[in-house]
Amino acid sequence: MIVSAKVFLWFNTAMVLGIAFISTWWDGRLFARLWPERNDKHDEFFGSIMGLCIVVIGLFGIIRHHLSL
Amino acid sequence: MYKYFNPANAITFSRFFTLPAFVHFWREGQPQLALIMVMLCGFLDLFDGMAARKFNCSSGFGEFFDAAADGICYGFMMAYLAYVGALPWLPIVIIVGLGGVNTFGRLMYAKRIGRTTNYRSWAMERVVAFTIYLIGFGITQIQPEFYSWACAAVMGFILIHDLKRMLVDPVPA
Repeated sequence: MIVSAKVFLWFNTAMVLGIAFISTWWDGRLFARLWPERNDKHDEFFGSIMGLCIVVIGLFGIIRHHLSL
Repeated sequence: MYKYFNPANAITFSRFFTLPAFVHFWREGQPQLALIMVMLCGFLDLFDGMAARKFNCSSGFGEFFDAAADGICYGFMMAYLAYVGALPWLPIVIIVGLGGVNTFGRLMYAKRIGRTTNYRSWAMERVVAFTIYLIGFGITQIQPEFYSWACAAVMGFILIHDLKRMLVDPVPA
């Protein structure tokens, strides 16, 4: 083991939160930018919605994990 | 045949070398090193596209090979973690099966277009990222049951959307 299990868990938690933050920023901006042309750029727009859904799922899971510890 | 030997495809192919290392570290009881192999596999994925642009060797085959390498690498890692009991097997079987249907849809799309090409799905790219995290959650045992079922549900939903785009909607000119 490189680090202890506790450090590893918090490293993973920080990673999920960091990725969730970046993804929210990225897909949130994409969503806002593409909203006026959502029909023409349907695939990109749909991808941004799915990206935001995955962020919500990711955050829900990590919160659930810490509450159940 | 030799036209496929280029730096971008070499980087894509190099991702397969992370698989035996991943299994080795898991079997040795080193999950953190196994996780580093997952991250390395994802990290290399960032560079094949860059190499294709830098060395001007982009091709339809390269794009398809990249997508296939994603499916093979992450599919194998998930299947292995399900095999050793770190991830629940049923949602993983569903995810791998959906991956197979997705590959079939892409082949049919290429056939419809009439050349080797890859359907770019922005949503499925997010799911690929989700599967990487799922493997990480399996290794670290962070809510593996919840994340596996969530990933299967999201992937199924996106696949229905993508299959309609690939097989039913008019192809772009």
